[in-house]
Amino acid sequence: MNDRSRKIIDSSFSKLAKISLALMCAAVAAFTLPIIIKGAGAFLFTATSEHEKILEENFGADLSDGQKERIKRGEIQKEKIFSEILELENRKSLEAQKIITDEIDAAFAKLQKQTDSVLSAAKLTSSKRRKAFADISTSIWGDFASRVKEATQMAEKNGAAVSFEKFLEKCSEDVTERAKQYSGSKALKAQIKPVARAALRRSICQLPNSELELSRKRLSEINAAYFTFKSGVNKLLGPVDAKQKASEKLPRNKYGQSRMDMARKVFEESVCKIRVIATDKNGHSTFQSVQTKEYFKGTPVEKIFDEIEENFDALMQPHFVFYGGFFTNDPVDSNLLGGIFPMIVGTFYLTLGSMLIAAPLGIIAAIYFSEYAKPSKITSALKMCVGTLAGVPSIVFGLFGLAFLIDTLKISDGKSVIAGSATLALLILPTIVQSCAESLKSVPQTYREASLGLGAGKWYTICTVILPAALPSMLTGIIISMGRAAGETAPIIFTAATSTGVALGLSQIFTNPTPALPWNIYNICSEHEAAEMVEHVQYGMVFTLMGIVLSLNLVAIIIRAKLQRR
Amino acid sequence: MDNKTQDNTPQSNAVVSARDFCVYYGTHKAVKNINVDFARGKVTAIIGPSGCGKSTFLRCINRMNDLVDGCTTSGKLMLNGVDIYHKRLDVTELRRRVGMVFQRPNPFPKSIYDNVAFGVRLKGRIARSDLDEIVEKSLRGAALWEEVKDRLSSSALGLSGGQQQRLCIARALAIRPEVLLMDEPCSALDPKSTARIEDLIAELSGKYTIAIVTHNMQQASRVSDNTAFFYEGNLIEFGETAKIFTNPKKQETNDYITGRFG
Ligand SMILES: Nc1ncnc2c1ncn2[C@@H]1O[C@H](COP(=O)(O)OP(=O)(O)OP(=O)(O)O)[C@@H](O)[C@H]1O
Ligand SMILES: [Mg+2]
Repeated sequence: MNDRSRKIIDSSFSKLAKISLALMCAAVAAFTLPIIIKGAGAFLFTATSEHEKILEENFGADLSDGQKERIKRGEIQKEKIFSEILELENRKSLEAQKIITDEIDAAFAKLQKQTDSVLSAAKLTSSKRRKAFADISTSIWGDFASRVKEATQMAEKNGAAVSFEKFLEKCSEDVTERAKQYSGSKALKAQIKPVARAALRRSICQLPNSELELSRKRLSEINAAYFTFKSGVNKLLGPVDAKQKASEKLPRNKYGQSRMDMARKVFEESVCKIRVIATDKNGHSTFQSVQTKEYFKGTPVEKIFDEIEENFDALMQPHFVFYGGFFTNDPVDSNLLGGIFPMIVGTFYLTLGSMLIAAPLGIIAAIYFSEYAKPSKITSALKMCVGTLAGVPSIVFGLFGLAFLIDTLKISDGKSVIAGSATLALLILPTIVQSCAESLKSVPQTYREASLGLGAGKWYTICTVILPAALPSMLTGIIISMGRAAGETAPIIFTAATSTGVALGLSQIFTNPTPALPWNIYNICSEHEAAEMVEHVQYGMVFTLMGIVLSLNLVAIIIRAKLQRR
Repeated sequence: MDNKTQDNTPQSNAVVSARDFCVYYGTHKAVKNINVDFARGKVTAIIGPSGCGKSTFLRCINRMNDLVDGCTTSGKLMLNGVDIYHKRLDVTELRRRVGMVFQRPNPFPKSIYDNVAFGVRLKGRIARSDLDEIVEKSLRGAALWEEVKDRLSSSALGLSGGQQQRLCIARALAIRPEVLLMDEPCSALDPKSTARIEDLIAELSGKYTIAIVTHNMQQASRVSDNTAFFYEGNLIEFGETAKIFTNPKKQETNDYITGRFG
């Protein structure tokens, strides 16, 4: 190879290396930056005044006067919206109701008069009589129907759909009742035979009910639409009054949004837009998403909507906070409120527990391999076993933990921290053995010779010379394994993890399962009923887990640097 | 084989004596039927071309070859008349009596003080003041005290190569061995450090029985009382240094010391 081509190869190789390094860095940055930024959003964010309210009521936080003042300012604004909502629901559309009531009375008066005239006309055959009855009902209910429609529209406009729907329901029963009474009255009974009476009753009951039914259906659609709007408002601002707050069972419904980003999201997705039932010509009902403002155009609902939109900041009272409680508070209502304290504690228990089991065992085995084991078939078979164990998929360890540790050895009745720790310990044990044996092997042979040459025994040499010399790199290996244990999910699914719960006390680790970050990250991302509402918690958890693992690695680096300087 | 006149009883002033001593690495015979006596208080130089078994023989005297898998011996090797390879011999006790300084300085990654104190502490608890005294004496004995007395607690790895080697000598001296084995102690050192260590050996002779392996003929002639010449695992010639260097009996010896091979 001549000088020129060697240079070309050298430079192209170094360029290639630089490019691949740059790509790697870019990939890492692309992966970690969003997690860091969004993860930090779990505890550094623009909060609404609800945030402090939640802290006070759920976690006993002492609020400053400024914070109380802010809550009050927001409350005053919300009060306005809520009172409008309540008024809207209570409003009686008296006008519309009166129209219908009068119509019904008039209809029955007319009915009586016309029936009488039909009956008094002599010798009508039964078929003619039937036809006459039909004509009567058409003439009566034709008008009635159009008036009902008119009243319904009026109620719609006034935003009195709720009360008017109830009213119509009552009317429908009312009309049926009156028709029954009329057709069964003594005066009528005396004059016509039962068959004719039945015909009469049929004709007078049918029509108004179907008309009322149509109006009611229309109103109930509007009502359904209104309630999706209202529940959106509730989600955004919280319950309208103390009564509603007390009746809500889920804590999430007791408060409005506590984060501005969530508030905006809820506003856009649940307040600006509503889901309505649309029935097509064939009678099929489907859900449709429509703009609130268009659907309720010209009604009081539109006014409420506009008010929310205009006073958004005054309602929410945005302010920037550092929410340290994210790390120290228990979660409330499936992580929708509160922090991730139990998961952090669980992760620490599992990690430290697995370390306490695996590190001594691993170090002892490593010392055996590097200092005592004579090269033989058995030794190399043992080494191969350790190597193979290191390559076993983690899910298999999880199953092993369940089948052997829990079901066979019964180290606990069910999932428990100790079972999870033991499983994780088995998982990282081979890595610890290998890395520690490697560290011990890299201690220069001259140290052993020097120590033994001075008359030290083997054990003394190991303790005073070899272990201290190997310690930095052994610790590095152990701490990196610890990071792995902290992040493993599969082994703890079967042996230790539960999706909810509070932080365990030390005495419970032998009996209780625990939440832990890796499992809860999976759980909150894929199994959560309202996953889109806890996005910040998802990122926060990932951020925390990464923080734990990275700081463990940082500790490893620092320890190594410290020990090496000595 | 030269030593036909085999004499199984060591001479009265012999500290280390080999009788028909062989060393094998697996099946390879690295040291062949050695018969030699190292006299008390004398410096014995071992010379010979590379690979002739000098280190192997030296390392057998404090059984450092036990660390080598497949290394076996036959014949007799005695320390003060006691078989070094006797089954019931306490190896740590032997090594305490036979100190060793290696070719490359190998201080522990500990402080200078702890390095010297290492062997002393092995014997059991000792008062701090006594330990201080032993450390100082050993460092003075190794002519290192003046250079390190102000930094006893700093790492031994911060010393220069020559200082490290003297530290290793001090470390070996601290447990007051009877015999001091030195395997090319100056090969990694500059002439000045070498000179210091040679002076040191001169000072120590008389008090300690010293065996030193060296490739440096001048060094051997300067520091030693007796010289053993090894060649391909055999002891070719053994005798007073002055005689070996001025008037060797064997042709190989002559060739070697005049630099014709090796
Ligand atoms: N650990 C070992 N395993 C197998 N053979 C060895 C081992 N150490 C040394 N030998 C062999 O034993 C013979 C003597 O080696 P030794 O190290 O004693 O030579 P030496 O005289 O010290 O040489 P040098 O002057 O180069 O240090 C050599 O042939 C060498 O290959
Ligand atoms: Mg050698």
